[in-house]
Amino acid sequence: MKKETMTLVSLLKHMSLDTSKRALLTFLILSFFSVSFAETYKEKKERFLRSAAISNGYSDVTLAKPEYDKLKAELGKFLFEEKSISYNGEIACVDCHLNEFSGGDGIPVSIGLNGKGQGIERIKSGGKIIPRNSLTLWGRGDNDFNAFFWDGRVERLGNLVSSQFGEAPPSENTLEVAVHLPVLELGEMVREDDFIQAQRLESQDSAKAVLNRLAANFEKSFPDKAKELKAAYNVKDDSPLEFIVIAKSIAEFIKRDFSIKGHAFNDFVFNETSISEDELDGGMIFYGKGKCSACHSGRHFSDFKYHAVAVGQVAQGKNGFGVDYGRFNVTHNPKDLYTFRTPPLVDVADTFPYGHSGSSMSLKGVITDHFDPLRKLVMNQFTEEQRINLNKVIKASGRTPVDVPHLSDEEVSKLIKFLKLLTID
Amino acid sequence: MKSKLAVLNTLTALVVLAGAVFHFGGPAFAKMIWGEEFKSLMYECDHAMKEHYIAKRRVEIDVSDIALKNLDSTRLGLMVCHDYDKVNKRLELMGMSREQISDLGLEAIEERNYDLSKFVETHEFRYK
Repeated sequence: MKKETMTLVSLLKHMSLDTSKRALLTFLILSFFSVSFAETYKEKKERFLRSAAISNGYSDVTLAKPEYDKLKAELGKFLFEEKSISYNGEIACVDCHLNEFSGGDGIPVSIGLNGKGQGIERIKSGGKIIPRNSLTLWGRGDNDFNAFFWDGRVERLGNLVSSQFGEAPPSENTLEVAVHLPVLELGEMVREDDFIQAQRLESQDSAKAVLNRLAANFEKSFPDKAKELKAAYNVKDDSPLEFIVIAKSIAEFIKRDFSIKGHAFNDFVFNETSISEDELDGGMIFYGKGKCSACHSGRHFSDFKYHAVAVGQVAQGKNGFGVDYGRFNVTHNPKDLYTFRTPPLVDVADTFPYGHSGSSMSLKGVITDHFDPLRKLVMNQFTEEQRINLNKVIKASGRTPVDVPHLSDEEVSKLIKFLKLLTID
Repeated sequence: MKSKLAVLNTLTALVVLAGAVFHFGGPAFAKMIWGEEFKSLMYECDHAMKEHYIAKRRVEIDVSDIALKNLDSTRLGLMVCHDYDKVNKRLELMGMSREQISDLGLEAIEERNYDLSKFVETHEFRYK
């Protein structure tokens, strides 16, 4: 366009016009094209943003919906909402993965056994406090969703599934393996009794014994549903129900109900819809100055790797006394101390609170933790141990090669507007 | 003979009384005297064990002079667990049950972490 303007201006030189008329015409032509440039500057930024998203691994979410079987998914929904899925028949998956909270539970850390109600009510009910924040389930059924839980204790490594089940995982599908874990977790979905006491030594055999007991309990409580499940998975009617069938069915339900159907950012990138100036600026910060995309990449906005960010710690922590070593608990490698899997960001605006123990109530808080973690340090509200722990996490975060620069409140606000584009339709 | 019997009776009564006082009052007394020390040592020992394990893993994965020195230091740091064991035994001798001692441990954990309810109150937890 610049070239065309220059050509027009040079043409004027050859026209038989007096100087003042020529100057006036030149001014009008330049003004017209400068207005055109102003209008296209936004388009240019939009083009840059689309290109940055794609070069950071973003792909069309609507083209990657996982396939599922309708009947199995429907049975999975029943299992997901049924308390008899837990060892003592006291708690269901849905108690911590609620639609109202976009698949999470809306509280900093989950409340397991004895928990009642939702939200604050559940915290006040005095149930067993689980050390980690409940994660949403969006996209968990996708083939490229490679690491589960905050510390990636179920993870795809090439063709192998790494998990607590060692060399004999119950399935080759990571989601199906992940479904096995909460139902084996003491306090979360298992209350200790003599049988559990006898299985306390962590081994594949003890896990299998508990899972078999669980499946048998379910079959006893719901013989018709067990029959349907066995039929759906071609299991002989006289064979006992196995937990793997339950896990597979729940996985089908997750594939159906938590597949990413689309969001405004996907429309922006692939259908070329327009977004506001602030959202655009936020996107440019996300893929540019803020370096967010260095870790929050791909269509799940996660590299499925492990990094330390100096978020706070709420409740007792996985390692007790308000400490959570994160990925170290899986690998036992000191390099992994305080690191957690990069959280995917799809529907992030609806999946508060943020961080592995839900220590940030707002997106602003958790974004600020990436570059100014001391901002949350209120001396009279922090215990000595908390301060020391925060210092260790800050030191660990220094190992991450990406250094998020200072972002102003206005920039953070634009970033949040951009992140809201990832809200599921 | 009568006076000897009276003395014996008194002594028996005193022993029974002392036994009752020890049985019922011992755990409360022990908690009052050594409870705080126990909680503090429990935290320190827990910390020392974690530090030692991390140092050990560091040496196993990537041995260096500084990693070895760090491991030696953390070994010495484990001495605090000996003090913890001693106080633990003292509490048991004073009649505290395993459950009572475990409760004391839970108190220690709760006192030193950021309580969930407190966090919710501090941040005026609200829903959209």
